[in-house]
Amino acid sequence: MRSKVNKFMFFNFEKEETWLNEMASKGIEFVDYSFFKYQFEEGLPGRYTYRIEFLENKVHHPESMHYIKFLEEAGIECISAIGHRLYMRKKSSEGPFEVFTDLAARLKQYKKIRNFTGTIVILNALATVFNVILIFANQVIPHLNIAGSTTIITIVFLPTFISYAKKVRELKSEIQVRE
Amino acid sequence: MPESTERGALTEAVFYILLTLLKPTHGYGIMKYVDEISNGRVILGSGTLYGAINTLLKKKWIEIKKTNSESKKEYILTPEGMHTLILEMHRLEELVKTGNEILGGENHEE
Repeated sequence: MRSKVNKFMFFNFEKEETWLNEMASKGIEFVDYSFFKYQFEEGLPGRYTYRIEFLENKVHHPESMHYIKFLEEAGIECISAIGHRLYMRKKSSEGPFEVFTDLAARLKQYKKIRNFTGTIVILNALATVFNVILIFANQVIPHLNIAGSTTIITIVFLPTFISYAKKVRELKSEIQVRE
Repeated sequence: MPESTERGALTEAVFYILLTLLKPTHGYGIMKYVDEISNGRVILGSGTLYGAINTLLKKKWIEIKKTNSESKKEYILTPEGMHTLILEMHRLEELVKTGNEILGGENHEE
């Protein structure tokens, strides 16, 4: 049986991944994602391990297609993809499933997500500041929906951005002594 | 004089991949085999393995084994890869030897 869950969660991929794996451990298996909608199917508890990866290129880029083919040959199922983001799963019975097991690749991955989140935070923070200036300078109320949403986006993404930035710093120092 | 400047340590992932590819193996097989020979200590992530394979192909330490069928792609060690692996074995032996000489020979406690 299929069920749908709407969740605004994509901005923190670590929490998202943990959530999908918690669901899988209860036998509720994630099968598709589209625009904040997660689709699940009833399955067997703990059958799959889920991972999310941010690809170098968009999903339909030849380089990404090449990688996806490699994954499928390695027993990894590519469930869903949106933009650069790839959702994958592997049968738990076929061994542990990790995407990046070396620090250099993990650093690269976290830098990519930090930059992506950072861009969103900075653009929205700028828009928020600009709107505040508009209010005070012109005594004009700008479009409140827009002004409000840029503020909310800034607030929602800021802690995630900070946590990724911290992770990048940690990995950079760890890489000095380990591989 | 040093023979070559490229004498740095290999990553653990690369070392185990090269060892595996003494026999032609596909991606899934490499993951399984490395897990097996390291008694589950070394896990090769899918992204890490893919990145390593592409780099090793570019360096010509491994190559794609030609198969006539449309089956899974298999990789095999090249003579250059073998050479690198042997150099790394020497380096590791030296590390263990030096470590043993210093740690093993003396009692470090007061």
